Amino acid sequence: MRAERVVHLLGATLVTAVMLAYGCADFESTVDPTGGLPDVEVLSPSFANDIQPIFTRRCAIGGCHTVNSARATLVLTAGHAYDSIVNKTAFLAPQFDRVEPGNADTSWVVRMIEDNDARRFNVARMPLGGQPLTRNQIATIVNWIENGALRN
Amino acid sequence: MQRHVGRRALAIATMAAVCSAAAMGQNRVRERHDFDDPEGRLIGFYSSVLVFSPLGAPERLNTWALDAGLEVGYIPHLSKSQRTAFQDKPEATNLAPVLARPRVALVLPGALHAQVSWVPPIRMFDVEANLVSIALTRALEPGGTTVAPRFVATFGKVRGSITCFEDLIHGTQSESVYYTEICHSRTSDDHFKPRHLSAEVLVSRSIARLPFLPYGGIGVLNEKTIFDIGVRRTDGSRDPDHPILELRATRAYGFLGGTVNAWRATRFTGELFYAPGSVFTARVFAGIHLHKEGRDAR
Repeated sequence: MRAERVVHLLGATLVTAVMLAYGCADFESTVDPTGGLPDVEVLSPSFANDIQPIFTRRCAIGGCHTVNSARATLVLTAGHAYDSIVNKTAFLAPQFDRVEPGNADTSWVVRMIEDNDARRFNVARMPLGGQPLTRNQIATIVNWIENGALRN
Repeated sequence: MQRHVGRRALAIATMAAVCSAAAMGQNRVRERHDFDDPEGRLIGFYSSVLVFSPLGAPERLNTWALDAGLEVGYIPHLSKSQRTAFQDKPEATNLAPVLARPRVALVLPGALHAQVSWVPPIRMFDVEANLVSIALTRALEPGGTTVAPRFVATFGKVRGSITCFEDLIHGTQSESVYYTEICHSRTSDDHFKPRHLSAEVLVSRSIARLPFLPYGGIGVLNEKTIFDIGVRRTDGSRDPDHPILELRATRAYGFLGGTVNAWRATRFTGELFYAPGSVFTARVFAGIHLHKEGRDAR
Protein backbone atom coordinates (compact mmCIF):
# COMPACT_ATOMS: atom_id res chain seq x y z
CA MET A 1 0.00 0.00 0.00
CA ARG A 2 2.79 2.37 0.97
CA ALA A 3 4.76 1.43 -2.17
CA GLU A 4 1.69 2.21 -4.26
CA ARG A 5 1.46 5.67 -2.71
CA VAL A 6 5.14 6.31 -3.36
CA VAL A 7 4.60 5.36 -7.00
CA HIS A 8 1.62 7.72 -7.17
CA LEU A 9 3.62 10.53 -5.63
CA LEU A 10 6.51 9.98 -8.02
CA GLY A 11 4.05 9.88 -10.90
CA ALA A 12 2.45 13.13 -9.77
CA THR A 13 5.87 14.74 -9.41
CA LEU A 14 6.81 13.66 -12.92
CA VAL A 15 3.55 14.92 -14.38
CA THR A 16 4.02 18.25 -12.56
CA ALA A 17 7.56 18.60 -13.91
CA VAL A 18 6.33 17.94 -17.46
CA MET A 19 3.47 20.41 -17.01
CA LEU A 20 5.85 23.09 -15.76
CA ALA A 21 8.24 22.47 -18.64
CA TYR A 22 5.49 23.10 -21.18
CA GLY A 23 4.12 26.25 -19.59
CA CYS A 24 4.25 29.10 -22.06
CA ALA A 25 2.72 32.32 -23.21
CA ASP A 26 0.03 31.89 -25.86
CA PHE A 27 1.12 34.80 -28.01
CA GLU A 28 4.17 35.42 -30.14
CA SER A 29 5.06 39.06 -29.91
CA THR A 30 3.47 42.32 -28.99
CA VAL A 31 5.67 44.42 -31.27
CA ASP A 32 3.66 46.53 -33.69
CA PRO A 33 6.04 48.33 -36.09
CA THR A 34 3.27 50.62 -37.31
CA GLY A 35 2.49 51.84 -33.81
CA GLY A 36 -1.18 51.30 -34.53
CA LEU A 37 -1.10 53.79 -37.41
CA PRO A 38 -1.76 53.29 -41.13
CA ASP A 39 1.40 52.21 -42.89
CA VAL A 40 1.01 54.00 -46.22
CA GLU A 41 2.97 56.79 -47.84
CA VAL A 42 0.75 59.81 -48.35
CA LEU A 43 1.96 61.89 -51.29
CA SER A 44 0.08 65.07 -50.45
CA PRO A 45 -0.32 64.86 -46.70
CA SER A 46 -2.53 67.03 -44.59
CA PHE A 47 -1.00 68.14 -41.30
CA ALA A 48 -4.18 67.48 -39.34
CA ASN A 49 -5.05 64.14 -40.90
CA ASP A 50 -1.68 62.56 -41.67
CA ILE A 51 1.08 64.21 -39.65
CA GLN A 52 -0.48 65.06 -36.29
CA PRO A 53 -1.74 61.48 -35.74
CA ILE A 54 1.86 60.25 -36.06
CA PHE A 55 3.07 62.87 -33.58
CA THR A 56 0.21 62.12 -31.20
CA ARG A 57 0.68 58.38 -31.22
CA ARG A 58 4.46 58.20 -31.35
CA CYS A 59 5.90 61.41 -29.90
CA ALA A 60 3.43 63.19 -27.60
CA ILE A 61 3.41 60.34 -25.11
CA GLY A 62 4.03 60.36 -21.38
CA GLY A 63 7.43 61.72 -20.39
CA CYS A 64 8.31 62.82 -23.93
CA HIS A 65 6.99 65.65 -26.12
CA THR A 66 3.88 66.48 -24.15
CA VAL A 67 2.99 69.87 -22.72
CA ASN A 68 4.07 68.69 -19.26
CA SER A 69 7.36 67.07 -20.19
CA ALA A 70 8.35 69.04 -23.34
CA ARG A 71 11.63 67.20 -23.81
CA ALA A 72 14.17 69.37 -25.69
CA THR A 73 11.53 72.15 -25.43
CA LEU A 74 9.54 70.35 -28.12
CA VAL A 75 5.79 69.87 -27.75
CA LEU A 76 4.06 67.67 -30.32
CA THR A 77 0.64 67.50 -28.71
CA ALA A 78 -2.28 68.42 -30.99
CA GLY A 79 -2.80 72.18 -30.97
CA HIS A 80 0.88 72.85 -30.13
CA ALA A 81 2.85 70.80 -32.61
CA TYR A 82 2.78 73.00 -35.71
CA ASP A 83 3.90 76.14 -33.89
CA SER A 84 6.55 74.14 -32.07
CA ILE A 85 8.31 72.86 -35.17
CA VAL A 86 7.83 74.95 -38.32
CA ASN A 87 10.60 77.51 -38.71
CA LYS A 88 11.71 76.89 -35.12
CA THR A 89 15.36 76.37 -34.26
CA ALA A 90 16.27 72.85 -33.22
CA PHE A 91 17.23 72.66 -29.54
CA LEU A 92 19.89 69.99 -30.06
CA ALA A 93 21.28 71.40 -33.34
CA PRO A 94 20.74 75.18 -33.52
CA GLN A 95 22.15 75.30 -37.06
CA PHE A 96 18.95 73.60 -38.25
CA ASP A 97 15.29 74.38 -38.03
CA ARG A 98 13.07 71.61 -36.75
CA VAL A 99 11.06 71.93 -39.94
CA GLU A 100 12.23 74.07 -42.84
CA PRO A 101 9.32 74.24 -45.29
CA GLY A 102 10.31 72.86 -48.68
CA ASN A 103 13.54 71.32 -47.42
CA ALA A 104 13.20 67.99 -45.68
CA ASP A 105 16.92 67.32 -45.98
CA THR A 106 17.85 70.06 -43.52
CA SER A 107 14.81 69.65 -41.29
CA TRP A 108 16.03 68.36 -37.94
CA VAL A 109 12.80 66.47 -37.29
CA VAL A 110 13.50 64.25 -40.30
CA ARG A 111 17.11 63.65 -39.26
CA MET A 112 15.97 62.62 -35.78
CA ILE A 113 13.65 59.91 -37.08
CA GLU A 114 15.80 58.58 -39.93
CA ASP A 115 18.15 55.61 -39.63
CA ASN A 116 21.35 57.62 -40.07
CA ASP A 117 23.33 58.23 -36.90
CA ALA A 118 25.83 60.58 -38.55
CA ARG A 119 23.16 62.97 -39.83
CA ARG A 120 21.87 63.48 -36.30
CA PHE A 121 25.38 63.66 -34.81
CA ASN A 122 24.90 60.37 -32.95
CA VAL A 123 22.03 61.68 -30.87
CA ALA A 124 19.68 58.80 -30.03
CA ARG A 125 17.12 58.15 -32.73
CA MET A 126 13.52 59.07 -32.06
CA PRO A 127 11.10 57.87 -30.87
CA LEU A 128 13.29 57.20 -27.87
CA GLY A 129 12.79 53.64 -26.68
CA GLY A 130 10.07 53.22 -29.29
CA GLN A 131 9.80 51.35 -32.55
CA PRO A 132 11.23 53.52 -35.35
CA LEU A 133 8.63 55.07 -37.60
CA THR A 134 8.05 52.95 -40.69
CA ARG A 135 9.52 53.98 -44.04
CA ASN A 136 6.05 55.02 -45.18
CA GLN A 137 5.46 57.15 -42.11
CA ILE A 138 8.82 58.88 -42.52
CA ALA A 139 8.12 59.38 -46.24
CA THR A 140 4.77 60.98 -45.38
CA ILE A 141 6.48 63.49 -43.07
CA VAL A 142 9.12 64.19 -45.73
CA ASN A 143 6.39 64.76 -48.34
CA TRP A 144 4.57 67.17 -46.05
CA ILE A 145 7.74 69.22 -45.53
CA GLU A 146 8.68 69.16 -49.23
CA ASN A 147 5.15 70.32 -50.08
CA GLY A 148 5.70 73.44 -47.98
CA ALA A 149 4.83 72.19 -44.45
CA LEU A 150 1.38 73.69 -44.67
CA ARG A 151 -0.98 74.05 -41.72
CA ASN A 152 -3.67 72.15 -43.59
CA MET B 1 -12.20 81.59 19.11
CA GLN B 2 -8.58 80.86 18.33
CA ARG B 3 -9.40 77.15 18.45
CA HIS B 4 -12.19 77.65 15.87
CA VAL B 5 -9.83 79.51 13.54
CA GLY B 6 -7.30 76.71 13.93
CA ARG B 7 -9.91 74.08 13.11
CA ARG B 8 -11.13 76.03 10.10
CA ALA B 9 -7.58 76.43 8.81
CA LEU B 10 -7.05 72.71 9.29
CA ALA B 11 -10.30 71.92 7.47
CA ILE B 12 -9.37 74.22 4.56
CA ALA B 13 -5.90 72.72 4.36
CA THR B 14 -7.37 69.21 4.37
CA MET B 15 -9.87 70.13 1.66
CA ALA B 16 -7.11 71.69 -0.42
CA ALA B 17 -4.97 68.59 -0.05
CA VAL B 18 -7.88 66.32 -1.00
CA CYS B 19 -8.84 68.50 -3.99
CA SER B 20 -5.26 68.75 -5.16
CA ALA B 21 -4.83 64.98 -4.89
CA ALA B 22 -8.07 64.49 -6.80
CA ALA B 23 -6.97 66.99 -9.44
CA MET B 24 -3.65 65.20 -9.82
CA GLY B 25 -5.51 61.94 -10.28
CA GLN B 26 -7.73 63.52 -12.91
CA ASN B 27 -4.73 64.82 -14.81
CA ARG B 28 -3.46 61.35 -15.55
CA VAL B 29 -4.41 60.20 -19.02
CA ARG B 30 -6.32 56.90 -19.04
CA GLU B 31 -5.63 54.73 -22.06
CA ARG B 32 -8.21 52.08 -22.70
CA HIS B 33 -6.80 48.97 -24.36
CA ASP B 34 -8.41 45.97 -25.99
CA PHE B 35 -7.22 42.45 -25.38
CA ASP B 36 -5.97 42.26 -28.97
CA ASP B 37 -3.64 45.26 -28.98
CA PRO B 38 0.00 44.98 -27.85
CA GLU B 39 -0.42 46.62 -24.45
CA GLY B 40 -3.66 44.73 -23.82
CA ARG B 41 -2.01 41.44 -24.73
CA LEU B 42 0.80 41.95 -22.23
CA ILE B 43 -1.54 43.10 -19.45
CA GLY B 44 -3.84 40.18 -20.28
CA PHE B 45 -1.03 37.68 -19.90
CA TYR B 46 -0.23 38.71 -16.33
CA SER B 47 -3.86 39.07 -15.50
CA SER B 48 -4.44 35.46 -16.60
CA VAL B 49 -1.61 34.26 -14.43
CA LEU B 50 -3.49 35.63 -11.42
CA VAL B 51 -6.83 33.94 -12.18
CA PHE B 52 -7.98 32.12 -9.04
CA SER B 53 -8.76 28.74 -10.58
CA PRO B 54 -10.21 25.97 -8.37
CA LEU B 55 -7.06 23.88 -7.90
CA GLY B 56 -9.08 21.05 -6.48
CA ALA B 57 -11.85 18.69 -7.49
CA PRO B 58 -15.25 19.51 -6.05
CA GLU B 59 -15.83 16.91 -3.34
CA ARG B 60 -18.46 15.84 -0.89
CA LEU B 61 -17.22 17.19 2.43
CA ASN B 62 -18.78 17.80 5.83
CA THR B 63 -20.05 21.19 6.88
CA TRP B 64 -17.33 23.27 8.54
CA ALA B 65 -14.60 21.11 7.04
CA LEU B 66 -11.57 23.34 6.84
CA ASP B 67 -8.59 23.03 4.50
CA ALA B 68 -5.52 25.19 4.25
CA GLY B 69 -2.59 25.01 1.90
CA LEU B 70 -0.34 26.68 -0.56
CA GLU B 71 -0.73 27.09 -4.30
CA VAL B 72 2.31 27.51 -6.50
CA GLY B 73 1.67 28.56 -10.07
CA TYR B 74 4.27 28.78 -12.77
CA ILE B 75 4.63 32.14 -14.53
CA PRO B 76 6.20 31.49 -17.95
CA HIS B 77 9.21 33.57 -18.92
CA LEU B 78 8.49 36.04 -21.72
CA SER B 79 10.90 36.81 -24.55
CA LYS B 80 12.03 40.34 -25.30
CA SER B 81 9.61 40.69 -28.21
CA GLN B 82 6.74 39.46 -26.03
CA ARG B 83 7.63 42.11 -23.45
CA THR B 84 7.92 44.85 -26.03
CA ALA B 85 4.46 46.32 -25.96
CA PHE B 86 4.40 48.86 -28.77
CA GLN B 87 7.67 50.41 -27.59
CA ASP B 88 11.06 49.22 -28.77
CA LYS B 89 12.14 49.17 -25.16
CA PRO B 90 11.11 45.97 -23.39
CA GLU B 91 9.21 46.01 -20.13
CA ALA B 92 10.83 44.20 -17.19
CA THR B 93 7.99 41.81 -16.59
CA ASN B 94 9.94 38.62 -15.83
CA LEU B 95 10.12 39.60 -12.20
CA ALA B 96 8.90 36.38 -10.60
CA PRO B 97 8.92 32.80 -11.96
CA VAL B 98 6.11 31.61 -9.70
CA LEU B 99 3.07 32.88 -7.91
CA ALA B 100 2.77 31.47 -4.39
CA ARG B 101 -0.68 31.91 -2.94
CA PRO B 102 -1.99 30.59 0.39
CA ARG B 103 -5.53 29.23 0.27
CA VAL B 104 -8.10 28.42 2.91
CA ALA B 105 -11.29 26.52 2.11
CA LEU B 106 -14.31 26.10 4.32
CA VAL B 107 -17.49 24.13 3.72
CA LEU B 108 -20.49 26.23 4.68
CA PRO B 109 -24.03 25.06 5.38
CA GLY B 110 -25.97 24.32 2.21
CA ALA B 111 -23.01 22.54 0.60
CA LEU B 112 -21.38 25.84 -0.25
CA HIS B 113 -17.60 25.75 -0.48
CA ALA B 114 -15.86 29.03 0.22
CA GLN B 115 -12.27 29.56 -0.80
CA VAL B 116 -10.29 32.56 0.33
CA SER B 117 -6.77 33.63 -0.50
CA TRP B 118 -4.65 36.55 0.51
CA VAL B 119 -1.16 37.21 -0.76
CA PRO B 120 0.24 39.59 1.83
CA PRO B 121 2.40 42.54 0.75
CA ILE B 122 5.73 40.83 1.24
CA ARG B 123 8.39 41.35 -1.37
CA MET B 124 9.14 38.07 -3.16
CA PHE B 125 11.61 37.94 -5.99
CA ASP B 126 11.32 41.48 -7.40
CA VAL B 127 7.64 42.12 -6.80
CA GLU B 128 5.34 42.91 -3.94
CA ALA B 129 1.82 41.63 -4.31
CA ASN B 130 -1.21 42.31 -2.18
CA LEU B 131 -3.95 40.17 -3.69
CA VAL B 132 -7.22 38.91 -2.35
CA SER B 133 -9.33 36.20 -3.98
CA ILE B 134 -12.68 34.84 -2.90
CA ALA B 135 -14.59 31.96 -4.49
CA LEU B 136 -17.90 30.31 -3.77
CA THR B 137 -18.72 26.86 -5.13
CA ARG B 138 -21.76 24.64 -4.82
CA ALA B 139 -21.25 21.00 -5.67
CA LEU B 140 -24.22 19.16 -7.20
CA GLU B 141 -24.19 15.44 -7.87
CA PRO B 142 -26.51 14.38 -10.65
CA GLY B 143 -25.87 10.68 -11.35
CA GLY B 144 -22.43 10.14 -9.88
CA THR B 145 -20.85 13.08 -11.64
CA THR B 146 -20.15 16.17 -9.61
CA VAL B 147 -21.05 19.42 -11.30
CA ALA B 148 -20.16 22.63 -9.53
CA PRO B 149 -20.81 26.22 -10.49
CA ARG B 150 -18.14 28.49 -9.02
CA PHE B 151 -18.01 32.26 -8.71
CA VAL B 152 -14.71 34.05 -8.18
CA ALA B 153 -13.49 37.54 -7.43
CA THR B 154 -9.88 38.69 -7.37
CA PHE B 155 -8.58 42.14 -6.67
CA GLY B 156 -5.51 43.86 -5.30
CA LYS B 157 -2.21 45.19 -6.45
CA VAL B 158 1.19 43.99 -7.64
CA ARG B 159 4.09 46.43 -7.45
CA GLY B 160 7.37 46.27 -9.31
CA SER B 161 9.84 48.17 -11.46
CA ILE B 162 8.52 47.26 -14.88
CA THR B 163 8.79 50.42 -16.99
CA CYS B 164 12.07 51.75 -15.64
CA PHE B 165 14.68 49.26 -14.47
CA GLU B 166 18.42 49.47 -14.06
CA ASP B 167 19.27 47.02 -16.86
CA LEU B 168 18.21 49.75 -19.30
CA ILE B 169 21.46 51.59 -18.54
CA HIS B 170 23.38 48.70 -20.06
CA GLY B 171 21.01 48.28 -23.02
CA THR B 172 21.06 50.00 -26.39
CA GLN B 173 21.87 53.69 -26.70
CA SER B 174 18.17 54.40 -26.97
CA GLU B 175 17.41 52.40 -23.81
CA SER B 176 20.13 54.05 -21.73
CA VAL B 177 19.01 57.52 -22.83
CA TYR B 178 15.44 56.47 -22.06
CA TYR B 179 16.50 55.55 -18.52
CA THR B 180 18.27 58.84 -17.88
CA GLU B 181 15.82 61.14 -19.67
CA ILE B 182 12.38 59.57 -19.39
CA CYS B 183 12.94 57.56 -16.21
CA HIS B 184 14.87 60.38 -14.52
CA SER B 185 17.54 57.75 -13.72
CA ARG B 186 15.23 56.07 -11.21
CA THR B 187 13.50 52.73 -11.18
CA SER B 188 9.75 52.97 -11.54
CA ASP B 189 7.11 52.00 -9.01
CA ASP B 190 4.52 50.48 -11.33
CA HIS B 191 1.22 49.18 -10.03
CA PHE B 192 -0.62 46.30 -11.69
CA LYS B 193 -4.18 46.16 -10.38
CA PRO B 194 -6.38 43.26 -11.45
CA ARG B 195 -10.10 43.28 -10.81
CA HIS B 196 -11.56 39.95 -11.82
CA LEU B 197 -15.04 38.55 -11.70
CA SER B 198 -15.36 35.00 -13.01
CA ALA B 199 -18.01 32.37 -13.38
CA GLU B 200 -16.94 28.76 -13.84
CA VAL B 201 -18.44 25.32 -14.21
CA LEU B 202 -16.45 22.37 -12.86
CA VAL B 203 -17.11 18.75 -13.61
CA SER B 204 -15.61 15.83 -11.71
CA ARG B 205 -16.14 12.09 -11.68
CA SER B 206 -14.11 9.41 -9.96
CA ILE B 207 -12.80 6.76 -12.31
CA ALA B 208 -11.94 3.26 -11.11
CA ARG B 209 -8.20 2.49 -10.97
CA LEU B 210 -7.33 6.14 -11.41
CA PRO B 211 -5.33 7.09 -8.30
CA PHE B 212 -6.63 10.67 -8.33
CA LEU B 213 -9.94 12.43 -8.69
CA PRO B 214 -9.96 14.15 -12.09
CA TYR B 215 -11.76 17.39 -12.76
CA GLY B 216 -12.06 19.94 -15.50
CA GLY B 217 -13.93 23.08 -16.25
CA ILE B 218 -14.35 26.26 -18.14
CA GLY B 219 -14.76 29.80 -16.97
CA VAL B 220 -15.55 33.26 -18.21
CA LEU B 221 -13.48 36.11 -16.86
CA ASN B 222 -14.72 39.68 -16.80
CA GLU B 223 -11.85 41.93 -15.94
CA LYS B 224 -10.85 45.51 -15.51
CA THR B 225 -7.12 45.42 -15.08
CA ILE B 226 -5.10 48.57 -14.63
CA PHE B 227 -1.43 49.16 -15.22
CA ASP B 228 -0.46 52.39 -13.51
CA ILE B 229 2.87 53.52 -14.95
CA GLY B 230 4.87 54.71 -11.97
CA VAL B 231 7.79 56.64 -13.40
CA ARG B 232 9.32 58.55 -10.51
CA ARG B 233 10.75 62.02 -10.77
CA THR B 234 14.07 62.95 -9.19
CA ASP B 235 12.28 64.05 -6.00
CA GLY B 236 10.68 60.59 -5.77
CA SER B 237 7.14 61.71 -6.68
CA ARG B 238 5.19 59.92 -9.43
CA ASP B 239 5.45 61.60 -12.82
CA PRO B 240 1.81 62.36 -13.74
CA ASP B 241 2.70 62.73 -17.41
CA HIS B 242 2.57 58.96 -17.86
CA PRO B 243 -0.78 57.35 -18.56
CA ILE B 244 -2.76 54.74 -16.70
CA LEU B 245 -3.42 51.78 -19.00
CA GLU B 246 -6.66 49.95 -18.60
CA LEU B 247 -7.67 46.60 -20.04
CA ARG B 248 -11.35 45.73 -20.03
CA ALA B 249 -12.12 42.34 -21.43
CA THR B 250 -14.40 39.36 -21.13
CA ARG B 251 -12.72 36.13 -22.09
CA ALA B 252 -12.79 32.41 -21.54
CA TYR B 253 -10.37 30.02 -19.90
CA GLY B 254 -10.23 26.35 -19.05
CA PHE B 255 -8.53 24.02 -16.61
CA LEU B 256 -7.92 20.33 -16.12
CA GLY B 257 -6.55 18.70 -13.03
CA GLY B 258 -6.47 15.92 -10.52
CA THR B 259 -6.69 15.78 -6.75
CA VAL B 260 -5.11 13.15 -4.53
CA ASN B 261 -6.05 12.72 -0.91
CA ALA B 262 -2.74 11.33 0.25
CA TRP B 263 -1.34 10.48 3.66
CA ARG B 264 -3.49 11.21 6.65
CA ALA B 265 -5.07 14.60 6.11
CA THR B 266 -2.97 15.86 3.24
CA ARG B 267 -4.27 16.71 -0.19
CA PHE B 268 -2.43 17.45 -3.42
CA THR B 269 -3.71 18.87 -6.67
CA GLY B 270 -2.06 19.44 -10.02
CA GLU B 271 -3.81 21.59 -12.60
CA LEU B 272 -3.25 22.71 -16.16
CA PHE B 273 -4.62 26.16 -16.83
CA TYR B 274 -5.20 27.66 -20.26
CA ALA B 275 -6.35 31.15 -21.15
CA PRO B 276 -6.43 31.43 -24.98
CA GLY B 277 -4.21 34.21 -26.27
CA SER B 278 -2.53 34.58 -22.90
CA VAL B 279 -1.04 31.65 -21.09
CA PHE B 280 -0.79 27.91 -20.78
CA THR B 281 0.57 26.99 -17.40
CA ALA B 282 0.58 24.54 -14.52
CA ARG B 283 -0.32 24.98 -10.89
CA VAL B 284 0.09 22.73 -7.91
CA PHE B 285 -1.51 22.83 -4.51
CA ALA B 286 -0.52 21.10 -1.29
CA GLY B 287 -2.91 21.33 1.61
CA ILE B 288 -4.04 19.79 4.81
CA HIS B 289 -7.48 19.12 6.28
CA LEU B 290 -7.48 21.12 9.48
CA HIS B 291 -10.95 20.13 10.56
CA LYS B 292 -13.25 17.60 8.99
CA GLU B 293 -15.70 16.79 11.75
CA GLY B 294 -19.33 17.83 11.59
CA ARG B 295 -22.48 16.81 9.89
CA ASP B 296 -22.69 16.04 6.21
CA ALA B 297 -23.38 19.06 4.07
CA ARG B 298 -26.01 17.30 1.97
